[in-house]
Amino acid sequence: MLTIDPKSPVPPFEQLRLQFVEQVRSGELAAGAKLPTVRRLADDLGLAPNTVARCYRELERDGFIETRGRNGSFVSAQGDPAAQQAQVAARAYADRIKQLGLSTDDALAWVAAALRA
Amino acid sequence: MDGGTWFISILLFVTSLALIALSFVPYYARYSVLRYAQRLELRLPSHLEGVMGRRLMARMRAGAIGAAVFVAASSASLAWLVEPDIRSNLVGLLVIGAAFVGIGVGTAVAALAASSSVAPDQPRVARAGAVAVKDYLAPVELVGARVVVAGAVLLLVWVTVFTSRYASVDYVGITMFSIFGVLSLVLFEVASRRIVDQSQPAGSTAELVWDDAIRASALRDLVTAPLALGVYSLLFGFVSVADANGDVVFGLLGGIVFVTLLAAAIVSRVTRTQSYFVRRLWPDLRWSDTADATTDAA
Repeated sequence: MLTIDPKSPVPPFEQLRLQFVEQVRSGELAAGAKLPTVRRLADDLGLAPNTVARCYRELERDGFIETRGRNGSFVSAQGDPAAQQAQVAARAYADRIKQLGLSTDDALAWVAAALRA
Repeated sequence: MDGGTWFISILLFVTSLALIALSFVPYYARYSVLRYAQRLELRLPSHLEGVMGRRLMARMRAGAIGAAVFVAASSASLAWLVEPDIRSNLVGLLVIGAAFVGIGVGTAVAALAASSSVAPDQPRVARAGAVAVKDYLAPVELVGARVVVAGAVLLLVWVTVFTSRYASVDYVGITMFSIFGVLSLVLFEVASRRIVDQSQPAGSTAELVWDDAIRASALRDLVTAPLALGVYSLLFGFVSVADANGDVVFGLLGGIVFVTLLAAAIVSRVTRTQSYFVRRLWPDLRWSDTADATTDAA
């Protein structure tokens, strides 16, 4: 979830950028997750499209997200190559769990059991 | 049209008018939104009761207006165009199908025209990830609508190419159900994407959750038209071909469609498709997440 507080002394652009960075680092926004379009996020948060576009450009420059042409912007895998591969695999597993309508607790338990085996 | 079909038409029209009238009653708005919250197992903060009740009623009113207009128009055209000896069950099904299409059209118009806003000095919250129609509708509804309409079109092609138009009246019935099924599916595909692409200005997580709830409800109303018309076309088509030709295979296929329909209804009930979006978009939602804007911003 992203929150923009107009009364905060931190400029909206910086509030947005910091929250994205924090969520990518913590894994809340997993590798491969698609971000909203610039226009959509600007409308949702009541910001100018240029503010969101600038934020996306800086996040891309810093390696947090990647733009895949007309398909939109996606969260990049973070860390060394092995960690990046693991994040891509985790994303695929999470998508499949969502498709099957299974619970997060069950999914985590199966991963833990598979890792212990 | 015979007496039975007129009765169905008048009943649907009067019910639509009653729903339009009810949508203006504040007590009913409150009752509806609280009942919806109970069905979804979502908490509704008291400061959102009024606005969410009004949005729910606006959508219901638009759907009822659409149903009333389509029922009146279809009844008048069928009474004027259709021969008196036509199968009365076919005409009745066409009028019910028109009501579903009307609900879909009305709901789409209301959902696309709706707008919400947040005071400029208030904190704003937004989802960090993108969403799609598949996040709001369970596969049994989303894929089901596409499958039954595709099945209806295939049946129409098969009947056109391989049978000797066994009975012109039944052929007209299958054709109409299939054409309106395809049109309502196109309406659903276009309108649902536009609804999901609309912005969601929200001052708190609770507002965002409830905006999703209203969206999910509108999309479910929209998908009902192609689902119902596709199922009608398949059921009516298989049974009438079996009747006309004494074809056991088609009778069996009609039975399979009926059993599949029952199974889908049970799956839908058991898996609670109406709260699918909560599990998909808000899997870790806690009541503390749906506090008001100031708490969210803190």
